[in-house]
Amino acid sequence: MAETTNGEATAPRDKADGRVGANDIIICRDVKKWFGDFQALRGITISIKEREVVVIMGPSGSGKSTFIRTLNRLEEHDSGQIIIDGVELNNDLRNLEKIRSEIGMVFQQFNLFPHLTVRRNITLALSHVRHMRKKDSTELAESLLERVGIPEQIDKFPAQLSGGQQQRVAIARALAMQPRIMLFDEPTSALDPEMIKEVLDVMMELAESGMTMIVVTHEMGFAKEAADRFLFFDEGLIVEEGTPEHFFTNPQEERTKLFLSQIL
Amino acid sequence: MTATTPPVAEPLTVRRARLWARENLFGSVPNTLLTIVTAVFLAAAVWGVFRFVFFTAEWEVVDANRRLFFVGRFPSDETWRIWVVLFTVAGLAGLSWGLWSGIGMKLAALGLGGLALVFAFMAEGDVAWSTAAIVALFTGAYAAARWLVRTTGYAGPARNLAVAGWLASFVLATLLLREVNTALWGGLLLTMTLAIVGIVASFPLGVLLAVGRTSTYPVIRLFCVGYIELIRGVPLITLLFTAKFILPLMVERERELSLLGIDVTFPGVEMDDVLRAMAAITIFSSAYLAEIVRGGLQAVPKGQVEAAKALGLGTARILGLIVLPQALRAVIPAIVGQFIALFKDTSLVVIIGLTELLRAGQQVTAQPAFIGKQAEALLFVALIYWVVAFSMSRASQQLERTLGVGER
Amino acid sequence: MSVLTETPVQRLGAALRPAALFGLGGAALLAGILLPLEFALATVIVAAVAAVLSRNARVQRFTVQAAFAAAVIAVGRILIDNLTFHLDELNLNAFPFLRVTGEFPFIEVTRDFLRQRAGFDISESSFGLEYTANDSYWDAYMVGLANTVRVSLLGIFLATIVGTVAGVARLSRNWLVSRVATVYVETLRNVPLLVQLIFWYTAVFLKLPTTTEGVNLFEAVFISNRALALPWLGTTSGFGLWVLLLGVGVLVAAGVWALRARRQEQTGRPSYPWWWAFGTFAVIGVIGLLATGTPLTYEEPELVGRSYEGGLQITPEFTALLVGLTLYTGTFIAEIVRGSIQAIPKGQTEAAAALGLSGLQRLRYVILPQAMRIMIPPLTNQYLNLMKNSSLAVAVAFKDLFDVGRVTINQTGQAVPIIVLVMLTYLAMSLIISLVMNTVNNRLRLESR
Repeated sequence: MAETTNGEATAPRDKADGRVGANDIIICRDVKKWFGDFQALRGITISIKEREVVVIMGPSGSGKSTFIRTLNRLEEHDSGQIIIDGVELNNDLRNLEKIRSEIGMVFQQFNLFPHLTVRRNITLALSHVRHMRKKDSTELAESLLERVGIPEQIDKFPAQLSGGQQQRVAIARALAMQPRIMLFDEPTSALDPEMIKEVLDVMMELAESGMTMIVVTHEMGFAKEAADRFLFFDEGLIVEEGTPEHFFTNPQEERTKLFLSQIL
Repeated sequence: MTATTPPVAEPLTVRRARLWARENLFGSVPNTLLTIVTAVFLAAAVWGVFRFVFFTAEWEVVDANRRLFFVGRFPSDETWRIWVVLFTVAGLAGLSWGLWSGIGMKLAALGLGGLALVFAFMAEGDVAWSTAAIVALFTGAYAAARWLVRTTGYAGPARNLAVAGWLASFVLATLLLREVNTALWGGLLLTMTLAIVGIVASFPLGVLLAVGRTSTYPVIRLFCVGYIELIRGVPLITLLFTAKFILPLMVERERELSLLGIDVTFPGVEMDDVLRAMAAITIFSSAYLAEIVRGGLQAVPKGQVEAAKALGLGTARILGLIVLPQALRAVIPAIVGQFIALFKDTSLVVIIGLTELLRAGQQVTAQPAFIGKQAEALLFVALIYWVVAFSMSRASQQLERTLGVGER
Repeated sequence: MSVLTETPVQRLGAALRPAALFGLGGAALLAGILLPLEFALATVIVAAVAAVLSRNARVQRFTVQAAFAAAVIAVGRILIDNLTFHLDELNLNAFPFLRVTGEFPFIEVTRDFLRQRAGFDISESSFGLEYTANDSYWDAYMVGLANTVRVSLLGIFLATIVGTVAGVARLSRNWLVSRVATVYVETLRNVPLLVQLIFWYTAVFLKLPTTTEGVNLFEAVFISNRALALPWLGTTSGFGLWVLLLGVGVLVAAGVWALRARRQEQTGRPSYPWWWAFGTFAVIGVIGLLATGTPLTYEEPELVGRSYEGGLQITPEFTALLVGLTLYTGTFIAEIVRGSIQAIPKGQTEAAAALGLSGLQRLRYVILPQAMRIMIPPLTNQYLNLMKNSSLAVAVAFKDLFDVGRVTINQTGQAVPIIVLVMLTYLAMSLIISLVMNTVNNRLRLESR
């Protein structure tokens, strides 16, 4: 039985109860990527449905970060297809704009803009990309900060916030663009232990509200509770995929078993 | 009630002085020896300088030629133009000092005000009047600014007005002063003109070059690298010579071309000596600024660009809103250092025949009355340069300290 | 596009791509130069419009660069066309270095124009070069270059010493010493070099008494406003051979040093490698002296009339330039040294002190070696600056490379080729200095591994 942060028990995630959508919002076919002579992705084929929460795990260098960075073209894939919400990701600039506006990303290093206030961090893209009016963007910023639990920090600078607060601001900043998909690249790896929970709580709430999320993380607790699906990456390939129960009770591959034994 | 000072106070300070002297001057035998030797040389040098400045030197050469030092051969009946500019600058500076709270703007305002004050010394006759006028303007404007902020709280719009005022004053100065043939400009006026124009022009050019130097487009990058390495590898004098002899041949010609049936005329650009010097100084300084800004660009973490891209911001916006603000902030001390170097480099225009401050110093000693007074004239010139450069470097240190404290 | 190492054909394709791009670029360049200017301008406009409108990232990259390149070519052509037009008007050849010949390759580089008689005098030269007004411009150029090299090398050497002393002095615990050093740095750093040079020349060295009233020490050393004359060594025929022997001596001494140093490391007992090396060198030197007879003669300067003859004469021009350059660059080097030393963590000094090393030993064995690694890049910059600043020699009447160029331009009217030649020479010198310093930098790093 899964326990939520509120202490109430809920039933385990179940595709049958319609939580996960029917459409594939991300389709990857045989995606490969090289860095010089080193092949980071050796042919990733996966489909991710709307409102699905996918957790990606694997040893370092396995390509998990590279993979999610190809989804919003921070890295260019060398062969194969990536289709996001029906639009193919290629050199076409219009497609790229559309896709980037549908995907939000949260980084390990937060990457908040240090010379801008929290408010401006969030409203910057709203003004310049969505051309929102100042009043509207500020309202949106305030409501998002409320949602991640730190409305009072709105006029502070990032350096004045703790790591956990900064990451929550980063999440709010990404959410401000109203994305359909959220990518998380090891969001809690740079945080001190006592601040991890506050960020995971926000991510949990996000998952429950129906956001499509792809999360690279080592946080097993969160993964067990929130994930609809696990992907285990090793050496540029998806070695094993399945439900959390499958992974924790009955992993098939040797490499998976080895990895789990090291981190559990 | 009478308070008694502890009887130990007097001997304590004396004792402290002796302790300090023991530690800092006479700690060990070699240290003591060092102190004595240095003190002897120092005393000799100071005595020599003192004797020269106050006894052997004849300072009339400076006093009699004040005008030449400050504005060269600027015609006397046109000096009112300079005074207009000076008073405007003094007023705007006082205003700016009052309106802005950031240390950078305050220092800049103070500096410009001080500059106007220095020029006050060029007045023939009573220096006191001109100095008083400028100080009065400055403090008056400052008081007005403080009053405005305090009573109405309209700092923002007032600042925008002040910025507009500065731009307008720039235009005003150009219009007013260009009426006078630039061949007559000289002295500190010419030095400051060259320096200010050089700084204002080379900064955006240097930023552009730095951005191009780090660009992902090989063609642009190659061009910028070539430009930067070429300019940095040659002395400024060669560029000044090029600007004087070759540049005019390159641009002083009208060309008519027929493009797809449309006639296009490229106008020729006439360049007087001052403009040529400005071009050389700008091109020279921009290459060095480019390297400095490039260092700043490299200091911005890659994640900043990635986060901005993920938010959907375009390249131009990323550069202007995210990268450059951080990059420039990181290298402000080095940039100010380059500005100081630019100011000192204006002295080289003597080589192409312009009479700025240094040349003025040389020319006064050619006058029959003042032959042989090189030391006096040059020391005065050196002093003026030193005051301006030293103030700029002190201000830069202050800026560094403030930014470092508020570092994000 | 990354390298697909899968099939040999694809590998070949990838290898050929840079060659193809190069060829394409070259062809485009030629087209830009040879075709009428209108083509280049048209390309700029077309490419710029295409860049703005394009939807494909690859295409956009190409068109942006094409537009930029075309713009550069167009502007360049306009400038050079104007230049040649004006030069034609003045009846000057823009490229006197080139001559059209009847046979392949139809253009050859010639130095004939520089071989004309110079007609001006150069009062002092370096490295024993002899020059009179009857020699060619090329010879004059060589003398100027030699002068520049001489003053730059000496300046770099002296400025490093002065700067290091001043930098260390600024950090001294002796209050007086550190304050004096600070005053030196802060004063001379903020006055333009040109002002300082002219000051030294006109207000100090030219004000020395004349030759007849000047200082005269033992009839061998003279100080006046004409020169500082010192006894020096003249060379005879055996000198070359002796230098050769000395060179051999250096090599042998180096070998001896290496052997003794290794011995010292292995046994831990002092074997005085430096003493041994010097001794070997001295022995070989003396043997050489005896073997070649008398390669050197002692020359004393003589006051003949109003000038000096013989000995080593150091002119006020050279001295003013050298002193000015040294003291000015020394201030910047002092700041660099100070910064590098301060960048070394305090723990190093503490550990060294705990080991019982004295202040001077700490400096020599622990602090300075580490500081040197930090220092080299900014120091390189200062050396380059000094070399470039030596061009201010024109202000003190010292005939350096630039001044010779200036006079040549005055006489021949050929500004373009001379300026280009002078600039290229300075560029070459910059490159050499940078290369040498880079090698030093890399060596220092390797040895630390």
